[in-house]
Amino acid sequence: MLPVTPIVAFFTQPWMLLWAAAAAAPILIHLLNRRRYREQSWAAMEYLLAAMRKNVRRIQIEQWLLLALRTLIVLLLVAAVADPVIQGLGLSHGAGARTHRLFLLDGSYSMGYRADQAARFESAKQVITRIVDESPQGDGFTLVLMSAPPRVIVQTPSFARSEFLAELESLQLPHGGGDVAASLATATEVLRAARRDERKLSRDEVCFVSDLCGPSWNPADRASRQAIHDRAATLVDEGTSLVVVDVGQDDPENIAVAEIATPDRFSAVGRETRFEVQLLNHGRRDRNQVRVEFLVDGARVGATQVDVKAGGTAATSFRHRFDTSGDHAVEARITGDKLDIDNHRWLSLPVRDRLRVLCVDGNPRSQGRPGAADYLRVALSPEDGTSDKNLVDVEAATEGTWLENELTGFDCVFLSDVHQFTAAEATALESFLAAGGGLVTFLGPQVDVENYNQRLCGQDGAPRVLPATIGELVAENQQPVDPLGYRHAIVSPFRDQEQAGLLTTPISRYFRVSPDAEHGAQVVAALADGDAWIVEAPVERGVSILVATSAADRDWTLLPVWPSFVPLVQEMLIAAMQGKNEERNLIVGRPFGGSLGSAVADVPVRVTNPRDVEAVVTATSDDGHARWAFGETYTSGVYRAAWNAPTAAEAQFAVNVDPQEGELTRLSEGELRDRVWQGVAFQYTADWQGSDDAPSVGLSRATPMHQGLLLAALLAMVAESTLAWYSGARAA
Amino acid sequence: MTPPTEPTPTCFDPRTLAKLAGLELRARSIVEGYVSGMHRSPFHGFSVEFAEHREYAPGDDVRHVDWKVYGKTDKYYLKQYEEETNLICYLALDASESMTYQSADAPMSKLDYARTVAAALAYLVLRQQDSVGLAVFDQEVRSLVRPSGNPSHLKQLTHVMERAETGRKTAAGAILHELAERLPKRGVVVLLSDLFDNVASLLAGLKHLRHRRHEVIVFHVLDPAELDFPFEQTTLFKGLEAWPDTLTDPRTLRKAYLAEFAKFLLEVRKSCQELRADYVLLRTDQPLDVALSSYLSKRLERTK
Repeated sequence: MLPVTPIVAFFTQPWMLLWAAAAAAPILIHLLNRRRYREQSWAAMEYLLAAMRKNVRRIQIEQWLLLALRTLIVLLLVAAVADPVIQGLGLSHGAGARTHRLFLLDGSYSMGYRADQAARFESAKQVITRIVDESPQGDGFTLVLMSAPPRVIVQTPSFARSEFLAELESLQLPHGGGDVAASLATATEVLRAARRDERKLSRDEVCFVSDLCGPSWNPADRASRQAIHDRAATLVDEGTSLVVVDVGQDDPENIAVAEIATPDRFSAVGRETRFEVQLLNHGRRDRNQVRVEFLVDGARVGATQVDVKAGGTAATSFRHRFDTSGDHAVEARITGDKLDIDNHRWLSLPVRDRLRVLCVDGNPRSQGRPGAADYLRVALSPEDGTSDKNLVDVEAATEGTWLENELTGFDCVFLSDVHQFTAAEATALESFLAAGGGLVTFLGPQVDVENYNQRLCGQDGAPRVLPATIGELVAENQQPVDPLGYRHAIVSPFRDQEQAGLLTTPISRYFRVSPDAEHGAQVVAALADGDAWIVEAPVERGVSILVATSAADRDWTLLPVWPSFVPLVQEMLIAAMQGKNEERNLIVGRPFGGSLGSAVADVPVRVTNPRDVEAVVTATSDDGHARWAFGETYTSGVYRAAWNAPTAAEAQFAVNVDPQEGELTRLSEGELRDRVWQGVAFQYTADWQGSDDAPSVGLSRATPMHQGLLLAALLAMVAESTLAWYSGARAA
Repeated sequence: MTPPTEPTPTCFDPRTLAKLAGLELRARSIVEGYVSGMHRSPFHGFSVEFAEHREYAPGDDVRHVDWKVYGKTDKYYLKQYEEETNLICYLALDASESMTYQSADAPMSKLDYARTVAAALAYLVLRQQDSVGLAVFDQEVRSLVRPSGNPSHLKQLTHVMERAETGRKTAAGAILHELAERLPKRGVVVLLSDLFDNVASLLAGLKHLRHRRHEVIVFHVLDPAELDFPFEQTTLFKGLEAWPDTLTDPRTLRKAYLAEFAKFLLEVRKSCQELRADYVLLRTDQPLDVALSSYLSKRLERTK
């Protein structure tokens, strides 16, 4: 049951009411006329008095009527000039109380949909502007952008309308999704704080201005849906009125670039890189011949046309050969629909001319015995070092000297049979991973299991470097390898490649390891008895891979001489480096950043957003490693970061929208009442469009009265003229 | 016989006359202009006993020309009879306060106008060798001049009229009763008044005069403002003759006032008609010859 909507009338130009004093003019003129008269001696008084006696009542009535009409005309004209409106507030409170209006402005990118000239977001801002303009004096306004996460734009009730509207006007639509549940929680906090601090605002109203589109209003998980319901119900229970102004349109047609990626996972100068692009049609109509353009660093490098079925996806691809190393921005874009934000998708791709790998040999070559990392060095760089095809520069180090190298200069670190680690070494590895580096650890006979678990597995506050803890040594007969369905990227190239020998890799000794599933560790391949053989996990921004056996010791395994070794090591190298790639591509709202190494701190990093607005963040150091982060990724596109220390460098980051937010099917009022806010009282309107001279904003619909008043004034003028004429005609 | 000359229009204009200082002068100016255009006097006597001859004057009735004398002397002489005054004209002039009213557009007050008309009539009558008397009254007779036919009598009449006191109420009805009793011989009674009195009493007085076989001529002298009520602004009407003052918007009352006034005029006119008294309405902005000629020409027609 909805609360009764009271009607409030007020004037938008109240100061014009001062002219109401002019209504006294006819009375004053009348009184003045009675005071200003001419005197006339009169002989035929008998007949004048007789005429007066017979007409005095009529004359008095006519004069009072004329006076009343003249006063009324002035009052009506003044009232019309003061522009009165009648407004239904949609509140259950009595009229006249001051209201705290909290606007929840939908900040999901579907609000960028352009139905006509203006995007929904701009229309929503107009709606808010109108409501603010039409609200009675004394009301306070706050503003929360319903993005993910929500952003409080105006925290405390603002009574300065111009400042509030200026803040609103400067707001730009972020390209992320929306989080209605979190926004309601934020709104609740803002309202409670206002109730505490602004006691003169005796009632609250939360006004949603949204298109009611996308997963933000209809989240997939039940907990979020329940939170949306419960938090709204709590607001209503606390006496807050809910108003929904629906600025959406019933036109769900939208097509988005859902994905752009390279399957090559590693791009190098001179090598052709393949890109796969996926389009997603959210609409109900098939879209044929959709033109897709491909751009690299802003320059068009190709185009194609794709058919996309209604509600379906379509894929296309293109290839490009990079001539220079460094970060490149690859873009796929389409045109021709009304929601432009998801018509683009970018990929920031580091293109390397060389890869630097540090191989730490825990058991160097001696007396004809190969070192623990010798096979690895060969496997990482199988070509002759002078060959053009050789992309990997391998630098060897021993257990005692490897930390002398600045790890930030390496893309990946391979550890082979390292005996143990100091705390400093563990911290260095952690920082390396945090900066997006890759770590591949082979065990071996020299490994001090206790030290590994103590220093590298996150126990007792120690750094978490390894994806698994290490258990006892297992020495059994040779076991076949279980690729676990070739699901992981490291072993997937071996699918249908049995002659590569992965399955037959002889392994007779290994450490039983326990993957740290809590932190996302995955078993890449296992042994026949179920023990994990290779485990991979993301660690901070980097990737850590642990191989439970040795990379050199023939008593443990013949893997180094097996045909599967080289491709396996190569794939592990690429997989370990994915952290550096992935950190360049993120979703709107997620922060990005980097590590500048251990030598510097307080270094300014200039970040230029897609709108060419530059911001400066400072790299800070809390554990000896300078890191910087940038969180204002509200707009999709390519962000460029540049810094000068320790060496001048720059990086590109591609920030993309969540294509699911491009789903434009919106909730109807009935769905909102029945599915989202069942049993929650709220007011709804989709009638937000009004002509400029007659603003009508939904439930705050203001009905202008000036036309009626002018008409009434005109009628009063006609009545006055008629009465004056009638009176004169009778008197003449 | 001197041919009649065209009257000079300005000599009858009240505005022009108002500039003339004395009543006598005004009277002469009017009558000379007027009589020169007439062939006969509108008044005549009825005595039969011859007394003497007198020289013919333009306007005299040619029936009284002594043709025998003309045969002997070749000059026109009229026969004069025993009864010198064959007509007695009594002028009753209302000099009450209401007669002093003069609106802004009027050239003279009603009293001035009435006095001028009275003087002109007196002069005319005296010129005809008839007698004229005068009663100036308000609520009582203030001055009474016995009838005389002596030409110098005009001076006395005008003197009395010019010095007549004003400022009292009218009681025309009672005065007419009194005159009816006091006038010794029957004659023509000329009443010059605005008649702002009780109409019934007024008519009773007129009836009394008619009963005494006087001819009665009523000159109803009114200001144009009283007839047209042209006021536009809010006005405080200050009542003359002790009527109370009243503040009003005259535009709202105009129609009603005119209706009341028309009713009064009609009542007076009809009553005069019933009493066979002559009734002449005189507006003070009207040329005086109209007042005289319109009436006297009618009278001449009747006495032919």
